[in-house]
Amino acid sequence: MLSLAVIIFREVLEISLIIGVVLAATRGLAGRNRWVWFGLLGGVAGSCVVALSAGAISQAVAGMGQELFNALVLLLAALLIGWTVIWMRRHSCEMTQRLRAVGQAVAEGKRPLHVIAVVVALAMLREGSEIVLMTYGVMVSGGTAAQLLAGGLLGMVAGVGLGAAIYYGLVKMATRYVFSVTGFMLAFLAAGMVSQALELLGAAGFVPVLDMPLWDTSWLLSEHSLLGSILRTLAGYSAQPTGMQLVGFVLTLTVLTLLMRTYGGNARVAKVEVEK
Amino acid sequence: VAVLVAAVACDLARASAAGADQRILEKSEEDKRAGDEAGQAVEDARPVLKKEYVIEIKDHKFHPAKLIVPAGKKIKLRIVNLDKSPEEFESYDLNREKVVAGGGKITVYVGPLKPGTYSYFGEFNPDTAQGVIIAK
Repeated sequence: MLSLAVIIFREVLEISLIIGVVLAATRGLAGRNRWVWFGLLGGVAGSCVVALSAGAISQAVAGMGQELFNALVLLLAALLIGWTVIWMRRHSCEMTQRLRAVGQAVAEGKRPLHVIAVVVALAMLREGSEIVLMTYGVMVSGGTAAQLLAGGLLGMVAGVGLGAAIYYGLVKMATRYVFSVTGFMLAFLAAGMVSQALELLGAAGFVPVLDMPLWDTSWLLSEHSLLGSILRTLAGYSAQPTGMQLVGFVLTLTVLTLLMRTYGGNARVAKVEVEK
Repeated sequence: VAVLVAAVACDLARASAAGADQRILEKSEEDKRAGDEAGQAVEDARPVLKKEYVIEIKDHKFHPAKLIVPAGKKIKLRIVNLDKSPEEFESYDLNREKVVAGGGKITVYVGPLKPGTYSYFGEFNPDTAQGVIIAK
């Protein structure tokens, strides 16, 4: 039961960290929670579909379908998270300009909500489908429902708990900093996803250049330890990054930072939005 | 924060303990291998590269659990799952992670590897599904 709990904890942790940061960054958008729920439901349904199609996905593209699929999911999520960062930045400017036209601002606030639902669903897809497969495996191999339920719940509660801690930690932060901090966290999240996608593409042999690991820091911090997997999700930590991963990571971070600066509101603008 | 720090500290301690276990395991594996080889005729130091290497999963175990491949070459692994339940081929040493559906098969490319022992496991059944790839 405990080993099941540990595995589920790991998968749930990755999901809940991503969602925690996205939620903290988009706090204050009217009607957001409803879309987050849509995203969660879509993620669960999508995970089941992906789990059912695991065999077919694997066989596709000369046996490299799984890597390709996961890489595409990551790249799409990174793109949408990047877009959310920019939108939030620009939005805080617009909000100050229309400070008195509250109705307008709320209507404006509806725009990125679909995107947030999709980001939440995508974040769940990879790890969620693994949870479904593993649960199915335990059932086929004659595990009892009680074991499954206890292990699953324990892992899930622990994983969601850590994600919630990140969320409330960010929300509690001084309003002066919260928007710039969550903006940069989203940028790191997106850069890490690009790096992971390139890692998968490299493993599948789709990256013809710079596909060897540059260094190995697994002796210092394993990606599979608790701290390692938190840093992997939040900051794109990789113990054995390939050259292409490093290029992708730095490029994503640079582009997003530049765009944030171009569209950026200042600290005062962010504060005004939070107070509303 | 205190809880998080405590959790991290605890995790680090566990990781280093696991590392120690791993080293002991590798050591005994090496001893065993030395024994095996002494019993047989002297093996070639450099195994010949095959087109692909098949590893089967049956009753949540890998067969062969010990695979010897040439170092410095790109290796194609075919992992065939004969069980009804899905499995995930995962290796921290090789930096690979891939789901194998029940009754399905996957291809995994690894290497070129430096000489050494690389362990892998089935993430869904880590108690029984353990194996190593030895590059020579």
